[in-house]
Amino acid sequence: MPCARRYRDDTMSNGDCAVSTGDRGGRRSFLARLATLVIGGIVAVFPFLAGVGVVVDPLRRRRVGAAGDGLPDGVRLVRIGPLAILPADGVPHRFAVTADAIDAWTHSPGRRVGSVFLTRTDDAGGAHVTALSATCPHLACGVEYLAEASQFECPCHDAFFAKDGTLVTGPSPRGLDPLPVEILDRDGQQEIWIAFQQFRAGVAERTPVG
Amino acid sequence: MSRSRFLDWLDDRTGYRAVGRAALDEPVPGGARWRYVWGSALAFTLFVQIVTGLVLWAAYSPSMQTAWESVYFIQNQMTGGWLLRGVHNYAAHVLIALVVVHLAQVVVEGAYRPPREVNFWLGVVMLPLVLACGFTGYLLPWDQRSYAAAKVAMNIVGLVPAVGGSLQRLVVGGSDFGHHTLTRLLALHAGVLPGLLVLLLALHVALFSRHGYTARRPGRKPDAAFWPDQALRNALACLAVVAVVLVLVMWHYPTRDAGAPLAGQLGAKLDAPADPSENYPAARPEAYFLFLFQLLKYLEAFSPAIAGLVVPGLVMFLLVAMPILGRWRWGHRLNVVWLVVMLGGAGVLTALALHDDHNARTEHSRGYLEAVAMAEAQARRAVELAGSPAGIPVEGALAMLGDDPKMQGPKLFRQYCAACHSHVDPAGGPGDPLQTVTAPEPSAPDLHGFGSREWIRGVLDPEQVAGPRYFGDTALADGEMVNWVKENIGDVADTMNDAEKADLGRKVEYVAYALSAEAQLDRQPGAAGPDAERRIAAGRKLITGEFRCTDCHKFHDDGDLGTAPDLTGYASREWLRQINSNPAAERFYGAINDRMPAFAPNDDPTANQLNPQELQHLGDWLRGEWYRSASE
Repeated sequence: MPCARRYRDDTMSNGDCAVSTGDRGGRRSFLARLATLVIGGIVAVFPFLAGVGVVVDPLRRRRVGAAGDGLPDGVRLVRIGPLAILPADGVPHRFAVTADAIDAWTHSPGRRVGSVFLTRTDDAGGAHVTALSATCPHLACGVEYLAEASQFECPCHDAFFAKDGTLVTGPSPRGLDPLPVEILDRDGQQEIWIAFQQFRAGVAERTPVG
Repeated sequence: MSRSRFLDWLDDRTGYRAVGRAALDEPVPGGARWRYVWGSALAFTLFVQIVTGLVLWAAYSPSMQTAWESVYFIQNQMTGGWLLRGVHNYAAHVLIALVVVHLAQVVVEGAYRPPREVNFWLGVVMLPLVLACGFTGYLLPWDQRSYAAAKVAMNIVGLVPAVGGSLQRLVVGGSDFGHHTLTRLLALHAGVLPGLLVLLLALHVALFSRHGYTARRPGRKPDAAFWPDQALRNALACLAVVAVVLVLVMWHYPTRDAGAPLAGQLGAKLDAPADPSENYPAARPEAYFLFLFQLLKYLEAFSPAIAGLVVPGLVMFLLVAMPILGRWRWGHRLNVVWLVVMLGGAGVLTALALHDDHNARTEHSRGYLEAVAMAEAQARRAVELAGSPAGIPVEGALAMLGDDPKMQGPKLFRQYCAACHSHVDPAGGPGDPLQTVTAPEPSAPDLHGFGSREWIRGVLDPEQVAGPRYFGDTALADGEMVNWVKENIGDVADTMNDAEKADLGRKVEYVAYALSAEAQLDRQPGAAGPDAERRIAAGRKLITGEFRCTDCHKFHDDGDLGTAPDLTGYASREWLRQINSNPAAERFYGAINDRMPAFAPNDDPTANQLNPQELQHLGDWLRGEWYRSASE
């Protein structure tokens, strides 16, 4: 007779239902179970496989430097401005760093990518400019120069650095990161260019982020 | 703690084993059957959509300057992005097809009957939600197709009685399409709609497990447990879904490009970015909305609200009424008839829509197919430019296309030049749609390849110069130039022996070289090289000497202006800019210019028809000068 069950929890009529459990433990059943598990596993991972490439895509992308500038990946030679904008007072001055950036699909010229402290001291040999990254090597907060103390201070976790960038006190594992500076002669004008680069924070060694 | 002890502990706290056993031992009336797999396949496809959708969400950027751009980046730049997008797109088609099959099965088997009415209604509510997911997903890339579909749909929303206007503003996120259109669409597509679907699906499944399978002739065979036989059939059905989706993804849509399909051409389509300033005759909805599209066309005499709101509302009403009607003696049969009418009607309308567009015999169809070819060419161009070293600017891809001679040239030519000039490759064939403009009634030379050696050879060919590609349809058909070519190249050749003919042919070739050198085309094959230099030098002597071109034309230091166009710098950028600005200037046709408009005769650019950038684009396009990827 047909199963008259209306609901699974309808115990009144459940007794009428003869549920065959197949040949449990038999060979056919074993194969069916194995096949179900294998196929079920394949279809369950399918959408994840379709998406895994896009998820891990950032791992295979590197920061792109200007093509043919001869610098390693992640390093960009960027123009700060004419030498004249930096007073030769031996005091660090903050400058914004703008560079042509490729951000996923957007090509943006002159995007602000960070800031640096430049210090200029002139002597008989000419102008000398040094650059320090304004990013604290502890956890990448921005440092500020305190003129009255002649020190850099990171306001996040109270790290202090001397004018030349060496660590004075605080949690930073290393001093401020120096960046190479070049004074280039462009059309008769002296210009400050720096090899802008960022380093991993929180470690004693200077490892470029690229 | 050993594994089994941990599981014992877990079972003690959660009771998962009983739940699992209940699911696996779920009695399947009449034993495992293929007829029972549709619900599982449907739930699985929804699962695929949620997983792939989440990943897409993590790479999509909803704004007017980044929507197309981020989708372009997924499709063409990110690892396996084309696969991800393709799976999400085609799984949506499969999902909707499965919904239809599931619905049809439920109605035909009368599974809406007591006690399953509520579960049937839950399913009926999910139907428009699934369709809305598909529709909102179609809009997110914000390409030309999205934009056209968005316009139609939002205006149908606006036709809702009383609240239409406000409703439209709410969906659009303002009075015009903008950033908030896309942020809201994304919230609907990735949040609200799938959230509701999952919630309703949970209820649907809960009620299903209360009611069990609907069996037709359940007693034919003894009932069997769900595990493993029915589970295996369900798993195979899901595998079939995967296979169908993958085949659709790899089946790249046909393009005019020969050669292997690029990754960017596999999977889901991406048109050129939405351009509100441009007509888009290739606009069509996704396949599963074609029946409504066709219905709108048939009911064009009425308000679009009939096809857009009343008909879908009626269908929903009939579906909701099915369980109630089914209680009546003939009710079930009537329900089945209605279902067949609805699905059959939708099927017939879809077939008609496809036939109208693709039969390639009617004017409508040819126009549509041409529009599709143009849309594909524009889409390819957009992708080519986005991948160029200059890339997509901050202002977005539309600005990038607005600055491209290859995109803008044909539009300008069609608007300002094609009243008289055609621009058709004489080699024949369909040609690149972005380099082909056909004048309905040509009355001026065809400008395809203008300034090239090939084009100039035609002017100096007595067979061609009075033909339709040159001066045949113009006021100059019997003019001095045509007659000169006929007499001095045509008639003269008739009196010559073979050696003399060959000599004349060489001289014509040298003149073509010399004149074409004036254009300084970027893409003149064999432009440089000692052989070309020698021919150009010889041609220059012939122009001022034996051919006596300078009797009428000016050519550098020889000849005078005022009788015929200046051949100095012929077809160069500057020459083109000037003739397009004012062909009636002394340097060109002067007083004998009878029809060509002056597009920029005034010093003040705002007083001219064409601004300097448009003149530049037009000239560059005529000269074939635009960014080309290395592969071209």
